[in-house]
This record gives sequence, structure tokens and C-alpha cells, in this order.
Amino acid sequence: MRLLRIVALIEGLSFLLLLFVAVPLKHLAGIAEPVLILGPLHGIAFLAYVRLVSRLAIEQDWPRRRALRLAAAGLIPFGALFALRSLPSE
Amino acid sequence: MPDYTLLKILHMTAAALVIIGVLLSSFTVAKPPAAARLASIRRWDRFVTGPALGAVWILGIIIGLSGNWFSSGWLPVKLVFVLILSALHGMQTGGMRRLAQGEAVPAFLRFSPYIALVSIAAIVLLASAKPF
Repeated sequence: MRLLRIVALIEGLSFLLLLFVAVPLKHLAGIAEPVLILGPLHGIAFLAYVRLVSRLAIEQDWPRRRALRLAAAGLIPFGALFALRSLPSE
Repeated sequence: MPDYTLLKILHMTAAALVIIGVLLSSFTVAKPPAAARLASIRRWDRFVTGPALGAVWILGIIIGLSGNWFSSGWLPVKLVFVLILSALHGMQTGGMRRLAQGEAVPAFLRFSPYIALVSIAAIVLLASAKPF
């Protein structure tokens, strides 16, 4: 569960930085480099997050609804971290 | 940026290892083998398939950026199938761990080979034909 929290944090943080820093920099200031770095980082973090949620859902016999909610939360900035709060601590 | 052809060779090699590993895991969770064989399949999954999947993600993104493929329509569709295959592999890894502990796996995992084959076929088709 600790690994899931770490991956969720990276996923959420990279999504926020991408949306509110890198994309405005690209479109308002013409600086494209942050998108080129944060875009791939967020893509890999999202894949890793969904894969980890899928693994833990089977391994720990989660209800299907919880697994789907956690996976879908990855689509919202920091949604994954909020969704993780609903899980038992360990 | 590294040589594009070299990146593609590495990406396809890693993808071949993922295909082998996911299909192997698919048949393992669909029809569980004896304990000794399960242990060796889990070792393969941990030391070969898992790292190969990570390499596929990273190399795929580098290739997408260096070839300017992210503006193409086929790539987002391919990424959906990559996501499905990655999630399936996660479920298989969890399922094999349950099998190793003597527990049953969820019944829907018996469809693993079909989901894997459809996803692999779609990825190969989209990456090679680049239809749109």
C-alpha cells in the first residue's frame, strides 16, 4: 500500500504540474520543454498507477467498485491520493 | 536523442518479452499449474516480464516523441490497449501471488488469454499499419 501511495503522489503531482505549469508555459510563453519532460513522466506514472491498482485489487481481493474508483481517480489531478484515503491504513 | 532504429529494436525486443510473459501468465491464471512450475513462472514474471513492461513504456514514449507520433490519431488508441494490457498484467501478477498462497483467483481471469490476444493484435495492427 505504501508503494501505491508513492506512485499516486508522483502521478498526481506530475498531472498538476503538467496542467497548471507546463501547458500554460507552452501556450502562453512558447516554452515547450516542460511539457516534453512532464508529459512522458506523467504517462509512465499513470500506467504504473493503474497496473499497481489492478495488481493489489486481485491480490487483496478488493471489491470491484473500489478498484474501479481508484483506477478512475488517476484521471483527476490528485484524485488518486484522495481516493487512497478511503482505504484501510495497512 | 539516441538512434531511432536502435530505440525501435530495443522497444520491439522488450515488447516481444512482454507478449511472451503476458500470454504465459494468462494461461497460468486460467489453468493453474503445479507449485514448482508456478514458482518458476512467477520468477520469470518478476525478473523478465515486469522490467520488460517498464522498458516498453519508457522506450515507447521516447520513440513517440522522437518520431513526432503523438500528433497521430492511431497512437492514443494504441495507448488504450497498452493500458488494458498493463492492467491485465497487474491482475495476473496479483492472481499468481494468490495461487502461490493456495488461494483461488477471480473467475473472470480465465478470460485473460483472450483479452491479451485481442490487445496484442490491436497494438501490432495500429503500430505497423498506422491507419489514421
